[in-house]
Amino acid sequence: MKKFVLVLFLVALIAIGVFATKTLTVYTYDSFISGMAKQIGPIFEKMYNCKVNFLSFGDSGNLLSKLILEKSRPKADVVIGLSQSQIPRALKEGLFQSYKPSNIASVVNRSFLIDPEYRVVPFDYGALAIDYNLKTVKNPPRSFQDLLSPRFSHSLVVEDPRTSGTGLDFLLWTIGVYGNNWQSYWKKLMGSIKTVTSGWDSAFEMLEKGEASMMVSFATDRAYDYHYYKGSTIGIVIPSEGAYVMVEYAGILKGAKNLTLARKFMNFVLSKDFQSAVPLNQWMYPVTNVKLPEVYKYAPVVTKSIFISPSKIQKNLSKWLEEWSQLVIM
Amino acid sequence: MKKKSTFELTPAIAFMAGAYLVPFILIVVYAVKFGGKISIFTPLNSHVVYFTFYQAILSTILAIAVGLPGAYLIGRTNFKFKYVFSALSTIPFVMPSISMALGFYSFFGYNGILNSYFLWPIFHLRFEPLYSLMGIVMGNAFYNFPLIMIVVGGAISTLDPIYLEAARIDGASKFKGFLHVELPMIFPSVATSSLLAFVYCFTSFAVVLMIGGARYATLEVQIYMYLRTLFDFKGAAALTLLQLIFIGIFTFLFSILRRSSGIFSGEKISEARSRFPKWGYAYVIGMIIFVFGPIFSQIIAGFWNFQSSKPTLEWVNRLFSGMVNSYIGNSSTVAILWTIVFATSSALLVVLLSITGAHAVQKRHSSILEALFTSPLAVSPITLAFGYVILQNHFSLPFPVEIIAVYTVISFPIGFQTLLSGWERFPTEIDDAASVDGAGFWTKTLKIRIPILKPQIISAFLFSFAIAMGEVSATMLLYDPQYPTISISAYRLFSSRHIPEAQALSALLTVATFFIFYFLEKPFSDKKGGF
Repeated sequence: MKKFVLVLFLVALIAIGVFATKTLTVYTYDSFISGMAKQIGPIFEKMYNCKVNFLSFGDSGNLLSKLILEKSRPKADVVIGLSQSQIPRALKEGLFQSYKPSNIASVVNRSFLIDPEYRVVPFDYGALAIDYNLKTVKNPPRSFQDLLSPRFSHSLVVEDPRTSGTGLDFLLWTIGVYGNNWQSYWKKLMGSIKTVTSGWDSAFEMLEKGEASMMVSFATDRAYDYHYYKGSTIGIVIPSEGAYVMVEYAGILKGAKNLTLARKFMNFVLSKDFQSAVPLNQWMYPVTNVKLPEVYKYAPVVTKSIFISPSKIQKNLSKWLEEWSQLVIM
Repeated sequence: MKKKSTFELTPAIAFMAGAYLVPFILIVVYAVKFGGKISIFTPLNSHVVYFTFYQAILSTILAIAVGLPGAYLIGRTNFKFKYVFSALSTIPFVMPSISMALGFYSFFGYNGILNSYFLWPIFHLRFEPLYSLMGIVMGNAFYNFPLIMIVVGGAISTLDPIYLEAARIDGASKFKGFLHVELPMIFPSVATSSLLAFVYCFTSFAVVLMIGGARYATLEVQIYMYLRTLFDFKGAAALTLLQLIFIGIFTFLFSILRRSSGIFSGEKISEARSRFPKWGYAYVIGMIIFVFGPIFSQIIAGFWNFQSSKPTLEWVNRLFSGMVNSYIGNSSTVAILWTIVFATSSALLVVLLSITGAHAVQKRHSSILEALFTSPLAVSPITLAFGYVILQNHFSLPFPVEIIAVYTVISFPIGFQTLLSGWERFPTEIDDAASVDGAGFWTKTLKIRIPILKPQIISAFLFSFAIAMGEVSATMLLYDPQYPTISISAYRLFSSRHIPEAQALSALLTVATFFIFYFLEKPFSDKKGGF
């Protein structure tokens, strides 16, 4: 019993220690934490003499669920990392408050500004792609149609669109390509799928460790390998039907406790410090005009892209997810 | 006398009503409130129900196939390490699901121990059961074969050999004699343990989620998906109703079967007569590979660098360096502390409720209360947690309360049954003698009852502690990232692909389970088998 009281006391002490400092809480997804957060967090902390506490709950799908669950009592101030396919749902749930960053004019591609009320602000973008292991896949697929070939049987890892932003974007990509026939495409695709992971990180690790030979990922992965390993075992294919460009957003939550700090963070997101850290940490393209690193020459250039309107996504998303579940879940 | 048993019954009844029945009633009320708007038999739901049955049947068959030969060996033959073997074989049953899944990953994975150190170098082939139905079935069987082995093994050991001898005299072969004479006699125990194994496979969660991957969904996983990621509370309520109906039917079947087989009678495995058969060696070797392989490689993986094939403390250091805090939600140390707080509180509660509740039930011979107190055994943690999610819309419960309540409900049946068997053997004459000498309720409780029931109290405490420590599914639904547990942290590390760190953290769970189990069974010191 004495020990029990002691433990309780210790836990209370730790809890007090955590709450005593003034902290900006930022919710994000797993891979943001391992790269981006480590680099830009300290810069922001130094600029405004505060602490930034980054927390993640899995992939961006888990992030959105967490936000909806905590809607009435939000624990975070800022959210960073929802993609354009999740924004309609997030706005419908009324998660964000409006704030127009002072440097919003620096966003180069104006079509990324999807919310006229500035509840969400874009911070990076990139194209989805099929990554494959150069050692095991000698004759890579060129198109979505190629992916159905028996030579890729049980080799592709896709992410679950219900829990992963990347997975959702991949589903939307196929819907963009095949329109109303997407379900029959997926039926055939099932033979090529090895597993459905709940997030991008799991899938990427499977590719890295040789557990799978292809995955749904991003066009910059080869550049990533050149940066870290001066070479790459990953090949990239953007299917000939067209690329899907994913844009990621940040926003201030309704009920944010540190509003002043949160607004400063939103300005910071579009600043040069943050944007120039994007290419080598996020492996996505910055939304403002900063210089790209040399290794980005290894990323394929997008020539043709597929687009689905946000209103169409909002109208059909839950139906599509239901249909997808019926097709894919065993 | 009657008054006292009411007094003793109050805590258990009050707790079970508030923490167990109310959440369930709320689910039903919640589902009914949607009225006609709820659609139970959507194509997706039917599909999930079908798959849940399908995987549970396959898993149960495999569990029986693995469990029965073992039951024969421990029930009928003598071999050198029989007691150690039977005690160790029951470990999977109490293994935390996260440790078990990580054990499978480190052993059967593409780069796991079996493939990289044995199959690939020697035969140049790989065995890849992960992310497939085979993996799920193996995982479920891994969990449930001990149940069948111990229960049936106990039944076999109590069979009178005279029947088999009579059959042999009449010219039946050994195998034929077993098939026609003994199998019918042990059938009730096979049926009961298989049904229980089936129920556990039916409500399988962590195995399906982690070993199967997102392509596979049992009812349990799908309810979780509806609640946690899709926010479709209607869909969750519909499936939960289905789940409750199925579990209700199974529990009813189980209560019928139980009467004829005495699954909780605690039969001890006795000394046996037959010679150890030749296939027994193959069996034991197979078990060492498929059962102990994953368990030991789980622990090893926490301290092993697979790239350089060298032992390392790197993963442990990383775990406590703060590098992974953002994924866990707090530091690993805090996660360990909270796990201890949650598990200790719920284990103390279980002991308290079990001592009083079991005594009252034993005095009243109430089979209804016994059934009520034992029923959480068949209830899925996800369903219970869903009840708490609804409950939160009505009362705001401070966070740790609901976690401790859920852990207590889940472990209570085992604590209750343990103490019940303790009370049944309790020498009432000592109690009566103390009463004559003028000892009051508290004096008797502290000076006589607790000391005499000490073994049962310790075993109930340790079991509850182990269950609470390893719980993931309900915790995943209810936890607050500021107060993570070890299991949840290990799951988060696994799903964010910090696998070595997850292995290191989980090794702590596995080792703790070993210790708890060692204190429960002491398999190496005294010669007592049984469960």
